[in-house]
Amino acid sequence: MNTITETGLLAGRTLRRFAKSPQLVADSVLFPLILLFLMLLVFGELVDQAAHGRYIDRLAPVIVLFSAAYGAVGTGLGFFTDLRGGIVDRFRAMNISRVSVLAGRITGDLVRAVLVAVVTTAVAYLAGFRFTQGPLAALGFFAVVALFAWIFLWLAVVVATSASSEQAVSGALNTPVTLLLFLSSGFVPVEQFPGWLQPVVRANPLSLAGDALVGLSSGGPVLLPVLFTAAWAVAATAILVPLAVRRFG
Amino acid sequence: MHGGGVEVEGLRKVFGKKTALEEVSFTVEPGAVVGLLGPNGAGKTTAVNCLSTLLPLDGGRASVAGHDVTRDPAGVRASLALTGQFAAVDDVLTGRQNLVLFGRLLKLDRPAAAARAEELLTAFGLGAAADQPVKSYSGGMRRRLDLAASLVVKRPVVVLDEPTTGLDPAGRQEMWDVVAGLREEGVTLLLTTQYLEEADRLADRIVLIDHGRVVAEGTPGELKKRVGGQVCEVVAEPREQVLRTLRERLEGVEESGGTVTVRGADSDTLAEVVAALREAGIEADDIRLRRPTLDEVFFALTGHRSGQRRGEEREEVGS
Repeated sequence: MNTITETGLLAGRTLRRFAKSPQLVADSVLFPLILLFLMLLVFGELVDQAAHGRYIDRLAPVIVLFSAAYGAVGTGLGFFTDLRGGIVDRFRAMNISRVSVLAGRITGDLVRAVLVAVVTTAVAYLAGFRFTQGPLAALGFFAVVALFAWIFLWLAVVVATSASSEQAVSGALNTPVTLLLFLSSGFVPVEQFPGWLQPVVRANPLSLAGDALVGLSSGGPVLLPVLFTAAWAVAATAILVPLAVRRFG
Repeated sequence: MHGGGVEVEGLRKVFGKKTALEEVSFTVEPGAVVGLLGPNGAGKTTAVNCLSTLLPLDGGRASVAGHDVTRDPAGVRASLALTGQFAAVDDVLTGRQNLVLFGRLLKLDRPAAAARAEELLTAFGLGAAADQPVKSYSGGMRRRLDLAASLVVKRPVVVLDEPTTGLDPAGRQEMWDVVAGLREEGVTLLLTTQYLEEADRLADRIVLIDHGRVVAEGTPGELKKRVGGQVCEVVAEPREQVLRTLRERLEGVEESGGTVTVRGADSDTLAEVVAALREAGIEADDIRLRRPTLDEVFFALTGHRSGQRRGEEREEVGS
């Protein structure tokens, strides 16, 4: 009961910090959106012709996922600042359980990731993106976003506990997030990648979660991509959570 | 508020191959104020972190308000308020939001947390800035908020790790006033500092620590007696003649860093110096009494320099 209250309070703090940092809000919302419109402008017609279907239907889900992964950089930096700034020591000396400190950070940023996803999706609507599979599928859409964000939030926490500087934190997170984005099936269909790269693109969690989101918004296979995404989340949990707990404890 | 003291016995802490603390023992009686005085890297913060359960001990034992830090960390945390070296507050939130958050985390309900926040903001002179983000606070205000945050729920023992390091003289004075207030409330206080003047002003007893060991312990008066009072600084030319003249009549005359100093000085020494220089026909540019710097205390008590840069110590000279 105490842990839940503490987690709630600390998650509230995380969210409040985000809401009060206009630069962070602008960055985490605007950058993915700029990317969305840029890709749409540059590749829109090209991909519309190459693939069967509208580019926005594939692109919007991937951008939404990217915004979640990109937001994890903020999580890493925020947690690093907390660790170095001494506020985590204060929490610990105050007899607040370490689990609450971690859980508060993850919960708050998970809520933030979903909120950013809602905003990004709303803007993508203006660009022609549509939910056609009913309200339940739309809910599932955001559940998958949360599942995907979960992977990167824990990665961010692990990075923050082991990094030596802020630059190291953003470096260690920015690079894989950007790589995953470009090596995903969202920008360009899998078939357009060189053969040797295709397995990587297919196994990329961003491609898999992207497929799930496409299925849940404009239609297509849902079960398998959702299961694959869940597998990624389970694997990340099994590796990253104990690592985070050990480094933090 | 009485009833919580601190006992440290044979405390040992090792980081890899480096021994940070070796056989450190001291006691803070309930309601007393003890200053842990030492240069950077002496082990002050390590000792504080061991006491506040942030670091496990590698040897010896320590207890806070009767709770052993190893066997009963929860009991220690419930009796001790820690204000660390870096203002550990959320700089994006306002001062009030910070205090309410800490209050709620310490299990106060919403109205109680809000009331306590208001009380502390007023008591610590932060009322006007209560609803400003902490980012806009001065260094002194941050430190006071930090201290307030650790006092949201009253604890019998308060630990302050270098409460005024990095503050300007005004900020330092404000912090001293706040600590003096706590002392009047009867809180048991352990504070670490690099400044002799600070330990002198705030503490009943000083524990001098160097390279992880306690090198001296006593009331400020006792320590000062061992150091030999104040230092008289004479700026006058020609230096050779000044040295000779003073050495004829006084003990402890030395030359360091371009000035002539007389250790173990008091106001009589000052009069003596003035008279001696006048007789010799030397006109001094400056003659003043000052407190010994930490470096000089160390030199007197340990026979070696503390390794502190002189420029830093200059700050502590004053009043």
